Amino acid sequence: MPRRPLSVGARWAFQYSIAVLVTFSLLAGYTYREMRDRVKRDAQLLLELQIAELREVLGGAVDSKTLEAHVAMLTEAEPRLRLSVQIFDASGSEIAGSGMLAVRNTPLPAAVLEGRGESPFYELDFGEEYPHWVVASRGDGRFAQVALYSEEFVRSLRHLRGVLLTIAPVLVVVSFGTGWWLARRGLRPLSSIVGTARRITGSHLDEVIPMAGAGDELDQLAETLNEMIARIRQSFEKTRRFSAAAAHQLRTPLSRLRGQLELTLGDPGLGTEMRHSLERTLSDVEELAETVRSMLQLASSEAGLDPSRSAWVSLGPVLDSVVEFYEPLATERGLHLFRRGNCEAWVLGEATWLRQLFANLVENALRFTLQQGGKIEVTSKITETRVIVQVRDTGVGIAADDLEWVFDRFHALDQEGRRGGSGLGLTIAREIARAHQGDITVESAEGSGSCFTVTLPRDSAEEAERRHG
Amino acid sequence: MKVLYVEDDEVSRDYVQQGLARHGLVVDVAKNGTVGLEHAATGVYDVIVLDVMLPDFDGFELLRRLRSSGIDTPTIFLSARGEVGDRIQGLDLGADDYLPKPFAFAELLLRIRSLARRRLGDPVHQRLRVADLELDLGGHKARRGSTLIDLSPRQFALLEYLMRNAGFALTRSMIIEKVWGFGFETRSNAIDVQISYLRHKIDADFEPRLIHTVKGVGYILEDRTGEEHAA
Repeated sequence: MPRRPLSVGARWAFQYSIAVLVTFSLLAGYTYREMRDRVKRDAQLLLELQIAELREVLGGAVDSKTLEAHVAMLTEAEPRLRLSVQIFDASGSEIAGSGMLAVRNTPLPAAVLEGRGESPFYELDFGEEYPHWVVASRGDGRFAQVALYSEEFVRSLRHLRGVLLTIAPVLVVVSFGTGWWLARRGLRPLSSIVGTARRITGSHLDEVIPMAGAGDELDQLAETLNEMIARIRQSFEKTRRFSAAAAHQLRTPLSRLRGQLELTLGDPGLGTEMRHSLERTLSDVEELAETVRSMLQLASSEAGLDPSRSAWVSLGPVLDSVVEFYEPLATERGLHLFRRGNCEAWVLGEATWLRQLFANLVENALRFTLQQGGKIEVTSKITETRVIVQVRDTGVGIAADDLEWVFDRFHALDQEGRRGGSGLGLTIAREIARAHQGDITVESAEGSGSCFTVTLPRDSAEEAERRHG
Repeated sequence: MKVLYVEDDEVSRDYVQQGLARHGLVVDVAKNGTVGLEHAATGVYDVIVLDVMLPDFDGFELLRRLRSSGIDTPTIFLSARGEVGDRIQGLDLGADDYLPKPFAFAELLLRIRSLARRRLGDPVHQRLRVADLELDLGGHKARRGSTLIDLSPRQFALLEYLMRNAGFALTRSMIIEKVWGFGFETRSNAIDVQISYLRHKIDADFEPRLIHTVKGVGYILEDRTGEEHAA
């Protein structure tokens, strides 16, 4: 079994969710970077503010006690930030300090000491969970360095990252679902077009695919298909008209021929040899007339049922009468023709046509079941909305290559070993089934027999009720 | 029996006229609607046979005019079109029968005869008899001489149809239509088998044989004893 290709809907939904995911990732990445930069800028600003507070003490003439007091005040002001401070003299030696910076004797960055650059902002890892962020600055002759523990900032960033990473899979699922739904919704008119087109090309070429009238791509598709179907219908119509016309044209000369033959045969003075020859000719004319009749019948069943003449037909008696009619012939040939199954169903249509349909199938089965003791079984069953009739034989069967052609007109005549028949019987059977909104299918195994299955729409429960009530 | 045959095709006109004349019918012919209507309006005919397609106006029109002038002569339509619609239209207009072309001559003859008989009033038979074959319709019994013959209901109906039309050839399609009650096309010899069963029962052990095959047409039930003597 080849892998079933993904439906257009699934493919669209998949592509849609990929697109959404990519867009989201770009957006999330940008947002995260922006947030990170902003958080660092905020931290830097905060630290610079602290240094500004210290500007006074950096001025110089402040004793170490005041210095210590300032430093302590600053450290205690924001306990959550765990601020730490270092004050350096002009040579870069620490003269006062507090917090982690002081504990770890952090040196002043060389660039600041040498007066290069402006208040650098850098990160220091003291082996704690989060790093410390540091700003160093030069005052009047002294230097200061302030740090904060970045936990609060980094945690908010990590939280943001967590949120973004959680949203991503949810978004994939939601967008796939939405994409699927949108695709299905968008494709629904398409599947209705496909359904209608399939039904139309099957047998109802007179139908058209309805257009929404929006003039969109779907309407264009429907229009194109309608044009195509119209062209098929035209060529169908031409074939039908041709065979009907040909049959008509043949009728009058056949009628004359037949009449003259019969008239001549009615002459008692006719010699025996001449009589036999004319009788054979008459049989041939009769066979030709049968073919003409079949062609006309085919043309009229292709044209469909005349609704004004349709009536509810009980299918059981139709099948009974056909089986009863052919039963003696079957017995004569050493075959067993019988009927099984429930057929309490009514079909809207024409009784004569339906009889012809099943007569053709039984006749076909009789023609191809040659073995003594062979069986031809007509079974029927009903479902809620349909009646299914099968004509099964134990005959020669049909080669697999021929199966799709058996319903074609005159197909049997192309075959070796044709056994009588007009070559139109199965074609007529199919057209009658289709005229009744039904269809016919065939299964066969060469050498062990064929089974023709006719499916016809039956009366609904309400209709049955009405008839009995 | 007097028959009017309206037909524009000369060949058909000739053979039908000759054929019917051979069976003792008096046939007048008309080659178009106008002449046909003139003849028909005299009302002297027992049966009118009308072709649907005529050069001036069609058979339907002719029948319409005829019926509106109060002539109700039984009418059979012949048509090369053979469409169901034609048949319905003809019968709706008051035609009594319809025969698609090409038809077996025997069929036309039989239909003419049965229409004429209907007009004269078909006698209600309780018993049909041909040679020593007797059919008791009331008692549903068949006898050949003094021998009672056992028939299935369908065989009885078949024999009744053959006997009612004794002396006239019946086509297979007429037999199917009248005895089985449906008109469908069959290429099989199902009818021949049915007939051979019946033959077996009523002819096999008796003389003279009554059911005969008419080649290219169908079957006929008649006592040919006289003919054979004459021949």
